[in-house]
Amino acid sequence: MNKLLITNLRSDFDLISCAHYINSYLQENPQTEVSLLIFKEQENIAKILANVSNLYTIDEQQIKNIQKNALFSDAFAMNNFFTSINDCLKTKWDNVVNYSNDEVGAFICSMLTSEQKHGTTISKLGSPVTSNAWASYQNFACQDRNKDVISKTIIRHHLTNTPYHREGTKVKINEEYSLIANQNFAKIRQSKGSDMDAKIIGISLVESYSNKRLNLETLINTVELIEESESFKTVLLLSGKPEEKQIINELNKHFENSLISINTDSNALSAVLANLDLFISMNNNSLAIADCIDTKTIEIRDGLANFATPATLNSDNYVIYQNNSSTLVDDIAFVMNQEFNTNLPVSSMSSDNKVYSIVGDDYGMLNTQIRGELNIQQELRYHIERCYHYQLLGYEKNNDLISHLKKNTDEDVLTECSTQIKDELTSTVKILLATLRSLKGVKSSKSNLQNFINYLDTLIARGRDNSIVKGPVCLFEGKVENITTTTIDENMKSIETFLFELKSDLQLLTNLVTDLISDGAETNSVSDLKNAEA
Amino acid sequence: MEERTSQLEIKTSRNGLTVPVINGIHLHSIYNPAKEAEAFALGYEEAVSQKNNILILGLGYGYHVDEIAKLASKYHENYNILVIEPNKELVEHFMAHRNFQDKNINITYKVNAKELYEDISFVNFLMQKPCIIKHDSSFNLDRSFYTEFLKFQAPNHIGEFMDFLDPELQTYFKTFQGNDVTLDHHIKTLKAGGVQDKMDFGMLAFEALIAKKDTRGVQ
Repeated sequence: MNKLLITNLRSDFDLISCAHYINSYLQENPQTEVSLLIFKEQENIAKILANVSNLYTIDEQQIKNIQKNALFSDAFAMNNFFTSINDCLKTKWDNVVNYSNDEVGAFICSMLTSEQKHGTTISKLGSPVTSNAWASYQNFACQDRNKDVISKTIIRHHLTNTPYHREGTKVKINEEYSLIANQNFAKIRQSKGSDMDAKIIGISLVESYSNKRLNLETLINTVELIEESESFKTVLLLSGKPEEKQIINELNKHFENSLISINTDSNALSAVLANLDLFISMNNNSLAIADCIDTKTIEIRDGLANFATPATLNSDNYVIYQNNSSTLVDDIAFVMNQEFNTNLPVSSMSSDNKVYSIVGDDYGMLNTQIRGELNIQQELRYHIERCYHYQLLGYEKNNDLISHLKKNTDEDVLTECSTQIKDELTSTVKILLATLRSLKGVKSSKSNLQNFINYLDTLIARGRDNSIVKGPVCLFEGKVENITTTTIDENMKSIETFLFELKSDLQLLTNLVTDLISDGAETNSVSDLKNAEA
Repeated sequence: MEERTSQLEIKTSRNGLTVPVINGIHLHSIYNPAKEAEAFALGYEEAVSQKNNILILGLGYGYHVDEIAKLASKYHENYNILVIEPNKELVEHFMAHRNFQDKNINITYKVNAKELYEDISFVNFLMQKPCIIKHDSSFNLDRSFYTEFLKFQAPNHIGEFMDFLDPELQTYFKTFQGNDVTLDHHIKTLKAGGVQDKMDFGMLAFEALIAKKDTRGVQ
């Protein structure tokens, strides 16, 4: 039996989404015993994940409280911390994954004894060491991005070269609760009195990770929409917080106590979610769990989170970025009509909100806008960047996507997009070429070293900007951080190799852009790169 | 260990209860200690109703503690009362002649505040943020002890807390010359490139945990 330890020391969402990874890993490596290292506060969530043999916990709050209180000796905080990780330290692991890619996890993974370590660890020199290109991509290219063009959960699968498996048991469903839920939901389906069983739409009253809720007006309008149709029945889901009870009281007052609401704890939640035909929720733990049991979801995101990464992974889900709550019910109706082939009333064909569908292609899941004002440049850029990043990470170019974009996008729009990308590309190529030239200078005299370092810093700083070259430049930075040689000459040789690899990576983007524009004209940056080769 | 010098006398109140007198100071009413304790406890009823962990500064002869316990049992199914008393002779006399019947009450005797804070079970009790109740006559009698307790600051030099570390951590820190540095200083040294072994990584993990912002809800 192989021993796998996954360190997951960040958010509740990371912990729940790890269920996808555990399932995929076990399908690829069935003879594996999975252990998790988590924070004690998240123990209840971790307990619902399927196929986890051991849970190790760090009592973060207790340790912080002791350490931060001037009354108490730091000795107790340290004792507590090292006792927490002691069993992990004593175990000889086959594989360790720093899943949440956090600093604490990186240091702990660096301490552990394991045949292989995946993700980010720390070298004795204090720099981050990444296990493969995907780990570099996660650690360097995904920082400070509002939206990941590739889902973090998918990136984390690639840390161990594990393909994503949609099917499988990811979270535990309590048999007793499941039986009760099945019986009760069967009755609810028949409660509309029509010939066909009604579809059950769950609406979560639980707040989002950023403490946002669906407002009362939206809830009333959505419940009305669903209840007025013979095809659907609403079930409201609560977690038991006083604010939710207040909302449910208001709703009951409006609907004369005709609504069904279920107060669920984490043990019963999966059994309830498994019985829903569609689940409408802000991005929160309930939504992430629904995705694990493959319940279809409409994720409502706050408009301020414009274009942020959806919390769900599976295709056939939907995300609504909410700018105007008064039109949200129309968007929900639009999605339900699309999903169930119904004719729920939609009062306007336009929307202030943006609605996305999660669909699959050769690379995996992608988000495509299906309603709301289209920012064509933003959408184009997303698809190009996604295609480019997959290429950087070893995938073939998605020619179908490029053809589709060319065929379905106005030439002017494509030209504007490619001009913008070329501008970003050209400025970076110039810095890259200057860096290569300065490297040549170092070969002739070590006194040119500082000049080279300045150019190298400027180049790496391009990865901090939110430009399209962030991906390749950050991957380059990851490679530089991973250098293990100790002499200046060896280091320079490695950096030179990586600079040429970056040049090839930028060439890929240049080629992509060239493919996009109809006349196929060579861009300035292409000729710059070719000149450099000459 | 510093031994305090105090003159303990035992008197009997008018209603027949034992009243300790230390250095001439009566710790309870010489007329009716029970009634005095009842009135004392009532003054803390609201505080006791809100917290089930209670720290009492001063044992006296326990009458006030019993009354606080009665109140605690009225409001909480489970409660813990810890009494701090620096006078060993008084504690021994009390335990030999009266003692508490209520198993939820414990007495801790320590000569100085430092010793108290070196006791992990006491630290864990304080972590529960107990309601703190001061028995005035005991407090006034040992004002310096209680003031030291309330104003205590844990030592932050490694050498000063070495004895409280688990053996493996003690071994780790003993390998460094001159433990007269703070933990912060030690970690700065490691960050400056001094990582040698897995325990160094552990110290950096500990530091990262302390510095980490709460990102629990962040997706």
